[in-house]
Amino acid sequence: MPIMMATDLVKNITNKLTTQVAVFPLATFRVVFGALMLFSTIRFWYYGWIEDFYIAPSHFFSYFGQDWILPYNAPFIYSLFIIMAISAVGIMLGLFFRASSLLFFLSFTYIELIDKTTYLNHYYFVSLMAFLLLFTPAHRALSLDSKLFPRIKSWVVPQWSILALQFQIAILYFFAGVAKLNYDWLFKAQPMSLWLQSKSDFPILGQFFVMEETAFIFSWAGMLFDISIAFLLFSKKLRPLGYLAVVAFHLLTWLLFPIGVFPWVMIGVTLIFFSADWHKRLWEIVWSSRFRVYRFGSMGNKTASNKITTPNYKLLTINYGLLSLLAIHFTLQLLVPLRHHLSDDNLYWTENGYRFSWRVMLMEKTGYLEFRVRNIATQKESIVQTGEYFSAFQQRQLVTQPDMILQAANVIAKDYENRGIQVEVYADSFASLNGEKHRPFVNPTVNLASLKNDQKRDWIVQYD
Amino acid sequence: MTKHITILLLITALFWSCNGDEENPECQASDPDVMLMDIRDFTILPAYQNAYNKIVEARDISQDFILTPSQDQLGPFRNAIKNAWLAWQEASGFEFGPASDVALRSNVNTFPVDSFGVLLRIENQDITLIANDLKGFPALDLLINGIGSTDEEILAIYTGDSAADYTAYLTAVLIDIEDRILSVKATWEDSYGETFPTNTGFSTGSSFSMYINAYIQDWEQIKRERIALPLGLLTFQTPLPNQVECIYGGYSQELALAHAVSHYNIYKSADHLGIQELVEGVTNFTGNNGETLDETMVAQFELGIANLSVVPDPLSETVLLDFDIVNEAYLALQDMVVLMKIDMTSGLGISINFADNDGD
Repeated sequence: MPIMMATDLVKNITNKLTTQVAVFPLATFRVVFGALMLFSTIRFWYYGWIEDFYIAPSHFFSYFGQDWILPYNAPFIYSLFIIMAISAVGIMLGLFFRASSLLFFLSFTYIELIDKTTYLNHYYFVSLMAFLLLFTPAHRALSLDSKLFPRIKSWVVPQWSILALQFQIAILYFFAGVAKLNYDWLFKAQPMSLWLQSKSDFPILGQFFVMEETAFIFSWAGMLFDISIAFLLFSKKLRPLGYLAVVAFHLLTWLLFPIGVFPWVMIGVTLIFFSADWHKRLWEIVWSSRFRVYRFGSMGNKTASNKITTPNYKLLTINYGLLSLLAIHFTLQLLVPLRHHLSDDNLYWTENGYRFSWRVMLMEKTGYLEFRVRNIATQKESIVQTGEYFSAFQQRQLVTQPDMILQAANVIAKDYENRGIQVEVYADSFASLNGEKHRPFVNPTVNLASLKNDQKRDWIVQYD
Repeated sequence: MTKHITILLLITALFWSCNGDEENPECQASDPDVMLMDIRDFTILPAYQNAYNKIVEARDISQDFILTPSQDQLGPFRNAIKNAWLAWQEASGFEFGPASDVALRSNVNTFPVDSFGVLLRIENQDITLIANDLKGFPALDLLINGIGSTDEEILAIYTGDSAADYTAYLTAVLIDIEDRILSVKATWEDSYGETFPTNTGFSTGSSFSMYINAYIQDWEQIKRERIALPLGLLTFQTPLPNQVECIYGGYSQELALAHAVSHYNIYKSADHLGIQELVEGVTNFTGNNGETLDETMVAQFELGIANLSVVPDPLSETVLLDFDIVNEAYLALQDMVVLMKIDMTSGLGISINFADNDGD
């Protein structure tokens, strides 16, 4: 009977997910992730970006419509970054792990939600990783928590806690690869060709970078890498090759493109694909001690028969609520990147559904935009000095991103209204995709202040 | 395992050693870039040299004028200042590195001048020149063209009771401009000029990226400050004639035109390597009638210059009398901004910004 089969299936999956496996991969992940987050927080602070991105601007581009801006002020923002740094240390050391990972997730995500301007796929990824890590028992061994609270100590964790992180990483790569299956990327080697043209001065390799063939090789290799890497990493046999590819790929992107700590994050987090044995040896090398915690030699073996008993072994009860939450999370993770199919727009042009979809380094879009206000009473027009409202970084980001353009127009309209002038707001703008000649972008006859929300981006001139 | 980690660390160390470390001289590309050397030697240095020569000349002539303030001396002095101001237009586009460190452009050419402030300070014999709108070329314009409605009135001031206060201020302004241009020129001839061609590439912070960013920003100033603002495009079509660059001498259009022409010349760089050579290599761009990016830009430069040429001086009157003729010039300059900011930068792979930030 189908119902029986369905229950069997659920039971089967649940059994697999709750199989107890060694903690080592998760412990490595915790340390590496915490360390990278600490580094990245300090780096962000050191570059003065807290001030530049979150304190200096007078307006922010909220994700929740322009009427609901997250509260911010300098002491609060700096506190959040301090919390971020401290909780990253907590994650790394496994100290008050649950609280640390919750605080890290909340502070990091809050900062990211303040302003669309700073959206980066890798920040989104960090939020997701922190969210998933929060539910895992990554502190049950090789952590200060397990020293301080010996009763929680356990050398085993349920399979899902490792699988969830692996699956999230796989989703990132796979969707990033699928996104590269487009005409420009594959058959024009764009924007790769544009990017590489500017690397002619690169030591030794510069002369190769500017060759057309190189752009094609990089485009195709990048696509194949993204699509296949998760499978390579899941496969026991191909894993070493896969990880070598991860290191090579991300080092290359780090050398060529200004993408911050992202390459190091990926090189670090993909370690979680290695077997428990591998991680155990890693810990033994670093720790210079042997961990005699297993009665059975092989670890990470997913069969249920591989029962591990240790003195500290404590059965983790199956938490169906948590498993359901993860099921919902991953269903969304599979659907959200596909949401742009709901609209017929040219995704790269209108960017309807572009964010949160793992479109990483996919296009070169540049634009130019000037807002023009029309005094409704006098019908006279005036060019707006956008710099009076937005930072240089915000201006640069908004000129190619329609939802930000709309928000900016509303900010401007509101400002005039506060000064007692009712205005319509228009934009004279152009944009270019992948180095093609600029085209008109926003329809210059549409009063942007009259558009409150932007489900339908018909106010963007069609890209034909 | 250990072996693998060692290899990994070695590779990392190898790559790490120089990435993103532009401060470290060992990490800069050892070969200075030929194009950057050309830009330095045939575009930037001559422009500063010329601007410096002309302001020195103006100061020399100012001494004759101060000694014997007469109609005979006033003409050549005014000419010398106009020539220096025109020469400055060719040097104002390099506001990065040494020039940006000392905010050269704002120091020598902030307009409109605060004429009330200047006169007040002359009265108080205060020549400290603490604000940018109290000095620079626009202040010179006030002092030789604007302190009286006729030449007789102006000369009367320079021969009157407070003549010494006026000439002291005049000299202070001249020396200020001269010193500032000299110091930037000297840095270019010395340390900065040496490192400029070695900071190769197109990424943020590279010499070429700074050069192009400054170039575009300066072009935008022609259209915004020099044209759009006085024409009233930023003030609901209420013209602001007092906002022109040269309000008293009445040759704002001439200055703006010189500025635009100098940008065109910088683009072409005559017989030397410059922006045009790179733009000629851009292939992804196809104009409406199949033109290349270079052809499109050349045509747009010429249109902008042509439209600006027919705007009559004094600009402060034209903005009140003939909106359309000034607006035509504005629109052509504006279209050029679009080509520069979008097509040129994306074609060359330069990001339009000075500040660094991550992408993904």
